[in-house]
Amino acid sequence: MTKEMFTLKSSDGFLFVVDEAVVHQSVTLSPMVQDCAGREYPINNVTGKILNLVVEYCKNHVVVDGGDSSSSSSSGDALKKWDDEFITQMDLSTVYDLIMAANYLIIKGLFDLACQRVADEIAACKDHEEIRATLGIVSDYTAEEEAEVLKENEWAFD
Amino acid sequence: MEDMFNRLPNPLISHILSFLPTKEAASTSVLSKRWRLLFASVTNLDFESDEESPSFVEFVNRVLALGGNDSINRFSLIFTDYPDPDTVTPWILNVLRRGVSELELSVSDYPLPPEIFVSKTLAKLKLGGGDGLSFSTDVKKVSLPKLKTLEIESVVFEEDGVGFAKLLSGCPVLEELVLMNLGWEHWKSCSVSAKTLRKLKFFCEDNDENPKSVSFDTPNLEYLEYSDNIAKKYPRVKFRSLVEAHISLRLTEDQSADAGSSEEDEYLFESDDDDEEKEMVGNATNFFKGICNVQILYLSAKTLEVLAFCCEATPVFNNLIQLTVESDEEIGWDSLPGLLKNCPNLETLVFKGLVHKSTKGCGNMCLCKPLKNPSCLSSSAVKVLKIILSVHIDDDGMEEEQIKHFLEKMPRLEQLVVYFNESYEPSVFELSKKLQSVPTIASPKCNLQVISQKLSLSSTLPCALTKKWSAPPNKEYTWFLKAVT
Repeated sequence: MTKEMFTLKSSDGFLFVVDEAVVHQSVTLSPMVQDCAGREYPINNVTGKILNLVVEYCKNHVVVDGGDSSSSSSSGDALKKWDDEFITQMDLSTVYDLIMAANYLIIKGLFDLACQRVADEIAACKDHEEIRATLGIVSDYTAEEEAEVLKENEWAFD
Repeated sequence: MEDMFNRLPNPLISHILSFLPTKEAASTSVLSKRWRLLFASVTNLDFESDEESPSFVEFVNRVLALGGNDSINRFSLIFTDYPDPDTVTPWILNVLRRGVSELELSVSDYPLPPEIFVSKTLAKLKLGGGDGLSFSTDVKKVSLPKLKTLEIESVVFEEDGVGFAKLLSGCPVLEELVLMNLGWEHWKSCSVSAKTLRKLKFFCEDNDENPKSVSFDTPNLEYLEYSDNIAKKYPRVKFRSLVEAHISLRLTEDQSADAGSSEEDEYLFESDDDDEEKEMVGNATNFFKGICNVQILYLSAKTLEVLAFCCEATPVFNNLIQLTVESDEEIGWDSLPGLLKNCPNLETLVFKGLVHKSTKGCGNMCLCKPLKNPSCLSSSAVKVLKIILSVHIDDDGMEEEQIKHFLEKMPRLEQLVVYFNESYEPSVFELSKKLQSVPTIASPKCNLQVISQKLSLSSTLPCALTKKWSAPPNKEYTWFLKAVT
């Protein structure tokens, strides 16, 4: 059975040839299956570096998503392990880019995976000073304003 | 380091925050001006506290108020103190109005507002924790058109369980149901009736009473976990589509004592008449008949006891391909031979532990007594036998002898896997060698694998020429770890 192949072109000109099963994981790209076989499909706001990661994720998720969801989860566990390793080895800057790409391409699993990674980074921080340092956020509160915020959400800062 | 969040629009940040407990998400309000209110537009809210402090109440009020009328996806409240209904109820009403689809309440001594039970948006409802959550007669109507998942623990249903039937009948698309410790042993009858149900967990912790009557009318159920004392009767057991079942039925202490003493009496009087009508201590025949279409079955050790003493005749399990049996030194294997004989298509047999109580039923499957009849093992279709050995291998080698006995009797065996939670490697070699030394095995060829934490030994029987040593194959060892927990 010959599979239909599709060519995706990143914003910086890299070409990725993928099959239908990969394309279908993106709600945005799914409709192109009808009319784009053989032609290059440009993805203007995703660079080659990030598109490469997206394709890698989708390729790995083809096997499982196609199967039946029985309660046997040894393959599910292996996939989860792959997902964990995949997302943990990236630096935060790449994760942000991945969030934007997965959001645009509407690939829910990848989107949630990347968001969870950032949430985990936040959860791992001891206090808001550390969160600022990790995420590179500069505070623009005055001292009074900051005190106000700490008071209005008092219970959250216990 | 550059502020990467500059590139992310607010809705994406809110989505990220939805992966954090609300308390943590709220602490981001102090990061910078942009973050001040972002946490409030998160659609998943969860609040957990062990006391009803003013600052907690204020916080929840504030978060809910900030959300205005925006729709909410999930609301979870875990409260280990006794809440003031006047504080909690407005919160629940607020999120119900905002179309919450997932609601989790773990509070003590709280009468559930009837509004929960007529929500047009709830898809998942989890109630429980502590005690005293009650479903009172105030709940006049139940209509939950979108509810797919329902989990209730320790909820008191007034009116002797009538409320429970009312609740289920108001859930037309229910797929998953978890029932824990609802006190149905005090009800006149407990009936789980849900045509769309696919997964059911029915659990009651150890107690002294038998439920009076338990029925299951779940024709589309595929997965069942049932752990309880046996009911006095099972009027209706409809499991036409059952695929996998985990059964942990128990006799009460009194019943167990009765069963044990009647057995001893028979033993004393040496009754050869096996057809003599014994008065059973309980009757679970209907239940076992009801699950006879199952494909994958897990039986706890106590269930074996129930099968032995409370079942008129073991039904035939035509579709059963995998059977897992837990063993216990207090429980005999009386019911196993009958069960095995009635599993004509069984492919995989798993033993969690190989110990059992020596009873008069011994000698068919095990080595305790010399065999009277041909062993049930000799006609068994089983191809794969997996044995999880107890942590401390008994010193007199009975478990090893038992495994050898399996090899000598089972004619269709293709694979024997022995799992050993033992990190002392020489004993793994020992066991492997002992098993390889069986002079004749019943099947023409059988792969033997002995797996422990760090080591996996493979060989082919009867010829012990091919041997392989390796680190445990991931899949098999993970399976083993899951099976022992």
